[in-house]
Amino acid sequence: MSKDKADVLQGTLNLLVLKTIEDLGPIHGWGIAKRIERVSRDLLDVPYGTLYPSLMKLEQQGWISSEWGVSDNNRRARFYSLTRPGRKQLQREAQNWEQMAAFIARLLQGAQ
Amino acid sequence: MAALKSVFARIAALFHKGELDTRIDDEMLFHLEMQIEENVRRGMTPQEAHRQARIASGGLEQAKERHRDARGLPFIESLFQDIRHSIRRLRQSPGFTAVAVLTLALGLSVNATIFGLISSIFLRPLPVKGADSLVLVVQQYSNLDLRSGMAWSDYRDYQEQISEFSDVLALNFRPANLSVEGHSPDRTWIEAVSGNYFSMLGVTPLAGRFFLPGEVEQPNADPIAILGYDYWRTRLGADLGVIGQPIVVNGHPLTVVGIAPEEFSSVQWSMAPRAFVPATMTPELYADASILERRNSGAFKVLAQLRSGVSVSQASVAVQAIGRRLAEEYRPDSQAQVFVQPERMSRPEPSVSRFLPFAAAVFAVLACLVLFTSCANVANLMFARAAARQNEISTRRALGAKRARLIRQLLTESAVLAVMAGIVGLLLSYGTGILLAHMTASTSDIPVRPDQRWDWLPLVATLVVSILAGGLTGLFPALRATRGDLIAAMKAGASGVGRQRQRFRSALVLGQVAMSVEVLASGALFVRSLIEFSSTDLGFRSERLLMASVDLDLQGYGREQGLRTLERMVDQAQALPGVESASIAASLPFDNYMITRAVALGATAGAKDDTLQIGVNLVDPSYLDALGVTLLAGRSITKQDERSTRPVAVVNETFAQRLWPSQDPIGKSFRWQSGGEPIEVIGVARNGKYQLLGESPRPFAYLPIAQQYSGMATLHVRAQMDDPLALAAAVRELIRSLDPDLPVFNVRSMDEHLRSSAFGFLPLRIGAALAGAQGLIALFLAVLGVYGVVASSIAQKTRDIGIRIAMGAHKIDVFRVVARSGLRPALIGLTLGIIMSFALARLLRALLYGLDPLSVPMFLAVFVLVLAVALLACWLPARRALKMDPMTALRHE
Repeated sequence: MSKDKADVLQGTLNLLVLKTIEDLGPIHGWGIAKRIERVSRDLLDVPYGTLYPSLMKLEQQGWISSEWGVSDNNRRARFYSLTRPGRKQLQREAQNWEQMAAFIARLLQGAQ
Repeated sequence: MAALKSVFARIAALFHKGELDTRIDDEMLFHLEMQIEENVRRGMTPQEAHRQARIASGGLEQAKERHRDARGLPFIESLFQDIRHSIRRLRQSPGFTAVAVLTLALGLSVNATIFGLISSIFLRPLPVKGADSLVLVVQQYSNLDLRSGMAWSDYRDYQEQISEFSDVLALNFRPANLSVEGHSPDRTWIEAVSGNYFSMLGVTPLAGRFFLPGEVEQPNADPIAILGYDYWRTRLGADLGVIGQPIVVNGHPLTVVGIAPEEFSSVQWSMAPRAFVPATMTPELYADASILERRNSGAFKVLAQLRSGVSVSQASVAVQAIGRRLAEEYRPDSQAQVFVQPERMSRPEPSVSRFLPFAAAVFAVLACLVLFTSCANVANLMFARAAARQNEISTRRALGAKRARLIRQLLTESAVLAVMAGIVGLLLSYGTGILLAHMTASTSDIPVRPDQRWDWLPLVATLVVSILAGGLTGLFPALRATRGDLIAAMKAGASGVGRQRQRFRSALVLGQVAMSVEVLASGALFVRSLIEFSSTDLGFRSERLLMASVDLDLQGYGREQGLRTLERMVDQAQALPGVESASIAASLPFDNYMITRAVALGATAGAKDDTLQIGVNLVDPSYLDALGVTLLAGRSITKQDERSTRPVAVVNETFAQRLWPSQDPIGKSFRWQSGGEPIEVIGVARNGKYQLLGESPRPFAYLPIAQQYSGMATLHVRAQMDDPLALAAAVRELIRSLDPDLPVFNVRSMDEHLRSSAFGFLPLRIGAALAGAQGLIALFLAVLGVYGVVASSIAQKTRDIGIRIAMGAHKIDVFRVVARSGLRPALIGLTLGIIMSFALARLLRALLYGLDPLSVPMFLAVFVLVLAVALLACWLPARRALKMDPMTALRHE
């Protein structure tokens, strides 16, 4: 595995996970990890030691729900989907992120 | 909202551990399999795919652990885990656990006992309304070491004039003959109280009623009484029918109108008067017409409720102003100071309460020293254990356990030990409490009710102290055990990193020995002062004396009839078989009251400074001789000194010196401040102790009871046999034959009286018992400590010793090795301890009645004792080491 992969930025993992679940409907942990890696063109790495505790927390906060299902290759897997509060949370976090990104962009431009 | 939900979910997670664990196992397994599949698709061999998948994802177990931490409350979970683990480990070594728990428990029980005493005396409020703002108004005579009460009319003035008080009550605690029809009469104690007594204290009756507003205002107008709960229950069989019935007090029938509730015995701490009568009835009940008007009386104890926001010192200032005005108006000769004192600071008796906070502080310090000693001991034990566990700890650290986590686990173990010790310690101190109660059991006739309310304070204090103690004892070994180079520790095994640890443990032993010497020395000080005081010259011979008291006044005897009765009593007692001598006196030495009189010094009575407060006793002609009071000059009182002849007195040395310095006092005369005929001095008696063991010589006079009559009298009988109590039945029978209705009370021996009197040996006895017990416990703990350190250091040096013996070392060399590890710290500690106890002894001086505490023989004795004990603690392991076969020693790991 390449060493130039970045760790997921603190605090953004929730946003990434929530967004992925919104986009791909009920989806298992492996799918979420792969999707994030693919979209980031392998720049981000989501090890399961990070992913599953995060999923657990999101579920405890009531933003996602989960149930057992069968994966594409006929294995038992746990599928996560977004709840109504989760959707609102995603909106909030997305908005925060955009504001922050815009601010950082402005800051960087100004600095040049 | 989400945060709250998450907390609930986490708590719920604690209870669904298994289910959640399976779920995460399954999920991660799925993830891993997917990864492997992908790797295979990329063209890896299955083994390589497996390996890479694991590398990519990080350790499976760590991931699970993180997951568990994320979902639950990891702190609590691991705490439970630690506690379970600790209990398992402690059960594996029951010997260690027992010794550690017992050691700490001993220290804690001393603590719990002391806390209990302090709490009971100083902290626990009376079960009355506004207990926190209750204050006592007392008078202190500057020339007398005692505090006294107030005159009734003074109380009235304070009540009316002091706006700092929201209410003021007065009570007169005094003896009375009580009888209820159908029950035998009692000579006991009652409280004559002001009408607002119960209403001010917010007490409600168990049955019937208390005094009504406006009632009991006029003298002798309200013949009613309220019964104390204890009397009603134990003497009257808890019969509610007694309400409305008459109760006879000193021959006067009063109607019972109410019964006090169980939780309230009196506003006087730990007292339990049998009945409460209106103070306004006392002129009739005690045939004392002027008691409510007299200004020169100290009969009434006055308690006040501070208005909210008023401080004790503010109230004191107000009280003093009025006190001065009253004194100017009515008692120009008085040297009394009036002041206010919080009720809690005036227990058990205002007159002795000054010593108590100091005594309490000393014992609390001693208790802490004992506790430290036992902590040091347990730390030593934990240490030996941690050493034995070095391997386990190193292995766990190698497996990735964090240091903080390991320390927490070791701390938990000591905390579990401490809590167990706290429980055992409380049980022990419960036992100590019973013992103490037994020791202080009063032989006096005053009805008391020991404070037995369950108190959470000592419990909480003990628990807090035990947990702190646990932390203290656990911290150092835990820090030590987990420190240091991992690799080196694993290589060295159990006997590794020895030197440094040994030094630390030696320091512990040193401190421990020092502290136990200190505690032991103070115990010895108390015991010594007790011994010294029991051989103090009291001014009379106390052995083989039996006493029995009667109160003829209460029984309505007149003066002539009373004197005749007393005379017959003495004559008949002298005739009893086994009696050496018999005599009569109005009061007892070291009793809770002493008769005092003011002697006019100047030619004219009047000026303030011109009086001398003296103690007096009213005695029959045989008293001085029978008690063994030495006459230095002149003659004793005789039968010829009676009412019709010239008043005479036998005075003591101090009295004579104060009035007629360097003159012959015989034939001189003096006058009472209050007037009357001059009294001629006929004899001079040697100085004695009259009220307090530690008192400085005070002026005292013996007056013939025939001239200064008192109906309250005590028959003193000196027995020929060793146990005067053998005469008790005969003496009772004798008095009964003189008057079957006359209650006899306080039948006891003089030794008993001295032992149990708060003014006699009681404070010293309690001090000696407490400090002595503390000292013994401390000594025991120090022996354990020295022994433990030496034994375990020898266990570590077994190889060393084996080699030495194999090389032909002498026994003395081996002993030297042993001694170095045990004896040296003990010796240094011993020296330190002696120095510290010198300092403490100086502090204790105030408690020990001016005894010089720097007694060299005593400190020498303590030194030798501790040294001997330390030697023994070293010798036992040394002997074992010497007996060892060199080969076994060499093979020993």
